[in-house]
Amino acid sequence: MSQDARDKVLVDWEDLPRASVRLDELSALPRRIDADPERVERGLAQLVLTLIELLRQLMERQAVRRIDHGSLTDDEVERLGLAFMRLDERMEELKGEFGLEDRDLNLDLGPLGRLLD
Amino acid sequence: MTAVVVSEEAQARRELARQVTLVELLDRILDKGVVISGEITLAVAGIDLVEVGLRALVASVDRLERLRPETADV
Amino acid sequence: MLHLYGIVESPGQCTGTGLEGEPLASIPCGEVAAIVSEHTRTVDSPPAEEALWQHESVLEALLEAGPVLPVRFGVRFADPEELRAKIEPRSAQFATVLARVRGRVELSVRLLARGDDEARSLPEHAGPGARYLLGRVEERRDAARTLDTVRNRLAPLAVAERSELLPRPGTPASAAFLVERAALEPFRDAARELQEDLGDVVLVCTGPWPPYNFVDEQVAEPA
Repeated sequence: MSQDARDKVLVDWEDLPRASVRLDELSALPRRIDADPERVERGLAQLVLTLIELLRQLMERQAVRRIDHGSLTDDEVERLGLAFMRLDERMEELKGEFGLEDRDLNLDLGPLGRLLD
Repeated sequence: MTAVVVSEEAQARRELARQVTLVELLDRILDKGVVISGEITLAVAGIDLVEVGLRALVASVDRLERLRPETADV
Repeated sequence: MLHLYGIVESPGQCTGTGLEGEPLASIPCGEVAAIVSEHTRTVDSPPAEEALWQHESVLEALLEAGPVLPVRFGVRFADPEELRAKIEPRSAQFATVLARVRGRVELSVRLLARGDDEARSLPEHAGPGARYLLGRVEERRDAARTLDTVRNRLAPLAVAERSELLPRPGTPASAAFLVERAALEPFRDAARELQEDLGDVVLVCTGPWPPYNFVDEQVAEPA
């Protein structure tokens, strides 16, 4: 065990730096909503977009499962895919408008978050 | 703090390792562990109130999925 | 205001200081005891990193003395009566789970995608929509395969396992293993070996942690 209580890495790995880019995206401290009254609008947008993003992911996962089970036709797959792509693009625009990043939409939604199996 | 000369590389590695550990801590301490229902009063504005209210919504989404698992449009 | 850290078997099992240097106290609740500290003001939101580490280090100290069920950060009660009212009715359940985690710690394994999405072989005739979705299907299949490999190699060294497929973008899977303290070294060796065999993902193994992922669903989420 390491002497540093805040270093719990058990297995060292060579390309830690590359992995750390991903970890940065996961940075979870800003997951709770911004309670600054001056920026209520942004906070609200954050909450709404988080919910939309959650539903989008939920639906996308459901679509992926149905494709995996082979229960959708090629045409249905294409239509669904286009819809998800557009939603994805629209989300990017909205995030830009409110100055939000992906990790801002990583709010702790408790039990709702657990819907994503 | 002991005055040990640490190479830059070792220091960067240590920073990263601590960052990695912090991510895992956050994932656990805020999302996992025992929850005593309705008692999370951490946040003043919004989110925790929302969280408690969402339990009802989750239950209804669950029911909905069970009702029409295959026929529901995605 | 009482900040709750964890649930332990006996009131004696309580040492050190809690948040903001306040002393720890234990409150007997039926078959178990709750470890708390008393505060006059509420903890900042979002909590400071220091506060989270303090919560964690209290749990780690308790873990050295015996089994502990870690409580999620931010659970607080107005007074001991309120706390007892919430915990006592479930104390038998908590005691059962405490017995299950005795002498065991949690180890975390997180898989991270290396770099950006690699090109996947998709049908040439597929339109942009289908390519998008089929890419996701492939991503999910790859993640499931990798998680299977991890499970096959590490689960035999653990007494319980919880895992999640694609918890977040760029994270094919994350898993938590409940491991006997004596099996810590063998587990670490196996994880090290496994890491060398996983070409396309990075394996991050951390621990030992209090058993955050093994506090039992039924106890964690009462109806």
